[in-house]
Amino acid sequence: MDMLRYILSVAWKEVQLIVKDRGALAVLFLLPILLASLIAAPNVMFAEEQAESAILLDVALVNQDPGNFGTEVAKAIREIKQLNVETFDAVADAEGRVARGQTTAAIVIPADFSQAIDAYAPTAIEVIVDPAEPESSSIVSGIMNQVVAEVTIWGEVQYGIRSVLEQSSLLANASPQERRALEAQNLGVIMTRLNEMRRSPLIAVVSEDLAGAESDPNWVLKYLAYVFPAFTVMFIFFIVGISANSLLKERETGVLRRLAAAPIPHAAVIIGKMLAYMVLACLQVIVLLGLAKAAFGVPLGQSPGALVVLTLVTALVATALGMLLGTVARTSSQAENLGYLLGFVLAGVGGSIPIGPTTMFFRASGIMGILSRLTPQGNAVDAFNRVMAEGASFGQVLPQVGILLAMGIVFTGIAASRFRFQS
Amino acid sequence: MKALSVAWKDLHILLKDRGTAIRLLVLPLLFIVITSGALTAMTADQNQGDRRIPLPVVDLDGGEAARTLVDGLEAAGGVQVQQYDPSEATALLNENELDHVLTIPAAFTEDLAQNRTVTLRLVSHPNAGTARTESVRLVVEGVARDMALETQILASLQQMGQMLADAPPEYQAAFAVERTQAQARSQFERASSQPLVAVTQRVPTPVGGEEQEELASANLLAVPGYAVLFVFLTAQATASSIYEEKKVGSFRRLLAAPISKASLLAGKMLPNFLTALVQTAVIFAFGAFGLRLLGIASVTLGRDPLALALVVVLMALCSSALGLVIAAIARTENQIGGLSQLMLWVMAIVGGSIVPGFILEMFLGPLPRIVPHYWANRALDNVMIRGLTLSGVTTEMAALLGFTALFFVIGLWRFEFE
Repeated sequence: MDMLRYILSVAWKEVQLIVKDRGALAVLFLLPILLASLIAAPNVMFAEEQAESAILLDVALVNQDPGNFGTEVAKAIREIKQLNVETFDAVADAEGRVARGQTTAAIVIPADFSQAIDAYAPTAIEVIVDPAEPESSSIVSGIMNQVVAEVTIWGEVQYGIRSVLEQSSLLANASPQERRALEAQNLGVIMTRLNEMRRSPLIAVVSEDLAGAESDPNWVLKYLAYVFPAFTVMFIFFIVGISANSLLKERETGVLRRLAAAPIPHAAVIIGKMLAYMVLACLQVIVLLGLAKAAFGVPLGQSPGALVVLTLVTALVATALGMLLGTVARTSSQAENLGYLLGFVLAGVGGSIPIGPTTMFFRASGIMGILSRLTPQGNAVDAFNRVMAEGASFGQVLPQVGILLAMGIVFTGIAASRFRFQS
Repeated sequence: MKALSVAWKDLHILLKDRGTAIRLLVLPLLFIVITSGALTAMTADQNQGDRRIPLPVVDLDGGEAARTLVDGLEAAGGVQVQQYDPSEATALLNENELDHVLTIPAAFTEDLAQNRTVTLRLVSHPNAGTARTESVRLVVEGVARDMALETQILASLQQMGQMLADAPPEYQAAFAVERTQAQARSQFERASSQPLVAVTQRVPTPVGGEEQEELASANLLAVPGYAVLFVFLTAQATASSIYEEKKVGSFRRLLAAPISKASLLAGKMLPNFLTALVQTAVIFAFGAFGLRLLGIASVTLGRDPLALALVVVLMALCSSALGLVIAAIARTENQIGGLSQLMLWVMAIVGGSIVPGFILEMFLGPLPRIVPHYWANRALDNVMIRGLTLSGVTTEMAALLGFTALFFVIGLWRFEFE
């Protein structure tokens, strides 16, 4: 009972010190909130815009073709809701805007566009893209490929019918009235084909997820169920440097020496410190994942028990690693710098810096995947993501929980064996 | 001269703090390595050198049309076709050993020959990533559209033949099956090698410069962004240094010395300025040479070294001046440590150092323009990625100079010796 009281006394002292360090609290709580929110907001916005086809990109349009095809393509481009189109007369003006990064892309319809299609001569629409916006460039080029698909069908069908008629000398012998009738029928066929192509393409491509659902409508939330836990875990591990720094500062200022003389078991000092920082880590999880749920609707999964256990073991590993660093580093300043560096390096390798889905290294194959799964961050983010995004149960994340627990015990063991009250 | 003495003393202190030096130089490189895809490239155990997205294909048809589709996918670029058995592909996809599986249905060839609609199924694992899945889907759709062209032409000719059913016999003979098939085939073959209407993509030719060939890669986008982020993070060092001086009372002693407030602050700015220059040089050198050693494309530094140098100098000055403002506003060590770090990270994110500026402007509007990071990022992008010269970054440089002057004046106005 006394042991518990001592542990709680040390923990309470530590909590009071932590609360006074507003700067550290800002880094541990506000920074991950801001980072995660700033990554989440554009994704949510894009998902909503995809659904509503809102304006996404500024493009400059130069139509040099006075013919029908140029006019039709220009009209089609202006009707695309994802594009905010500004028309220019000269290519140089439009290109200049792209070169200066003022417009995402310039679309140039050449002067002989209609003439070339009528004569069945290859032609091309040029898309001049901003090299600094590769994602937008792909979207504009993809849209233009869809736009020209219809013009291509028009040109090909027109040429095919005309060729057959010419090869049979039917056109040469036809009266002007017959020619007009054939042209009208030709146009009718083209329109039928285009409508058919829009209504049901001959070869349809269906994109599905594993369950067979077409393009998962919850992809943003599933992605955010990676972003929020990743930032949470990343910033939990910044406790490593802070707690090691605190331990060494107390040794440097002689506080530990005085505690050694007090009737408090030595283990209570370490356990009390760990307890305080574990509470801090648990609060980080509650605040960040609570915000993710409340502000962005990020799913928290079906297993609250699994989330609680995961939070506790992650907090244990982070604080144990902090104590271990406190016994390895020589000065408080060295401990802070090493902790900072360790936090970033392990977060980077562990896939806990979520810049995109490609940074989920813990799911990768090969050496990168192995390295990632060797870090506590990799295991923690993997397990949080499985519970939140995939609805995994406690049993399904038991391997990651086991690995984290083992790491926590090993780190605590080493830290305890190396710990000295004075240098 | 007095400012130089102050700066020289501060540089000595900074160089002794190896932890801070490592943090300032190692962290930016670490961020670049992680986000540029270098980590993946360094440890990739398969398809080395092949940057195409692997596309496992299950061919349940085995006919000529299926082979044409597979050949078309290979020729399209962007994806690398790998053939799998259905059961093997399903198992590997479930275990996330594969990201995507494209299934060509049975009777694909026969259905196409009969002008019946067919469906290709692209199944993706949730971890494949939306952008990657979308890229694969666009490639498959493009090839499918090209393949359907022959059928579209043939169907059109047959429809025209039917419309002329009541016409004289010579019209019906013209649209006989053999003739229309031959016509459709010849047009399709021509379109395969030379499409009637193509979409070509290029980047703008800078005035007086050579034509660029490629869009920016992830690493080219990462290097300027992180250079700006970490250069401005050094502002905290200036603020900490001023706070330390106040704490130990050395500024109080300087009150009695014949040194002006402006000289003192200039002296406090100089070490941070030099650190930022060294930091940028290390980041750019790593981008230009280091990334190549890691097996990924190196970045270009643009075609106007003078413009790049001036932008870097202004950026370093602005960061140092920002440090004065932090020192003037912050009242405690905690505020300088945590809160200023928070502020600097937020400014960097809003300014487009992590999420590209053109994306942020879509939902933040003109807000990013109120932070110097935005102008620094724009200036570096213009010089390094867009290949612009000094005349192309005058607005951005003027903005950085304006921020520097504003920060220095605020720092001077709010500065207290104690």
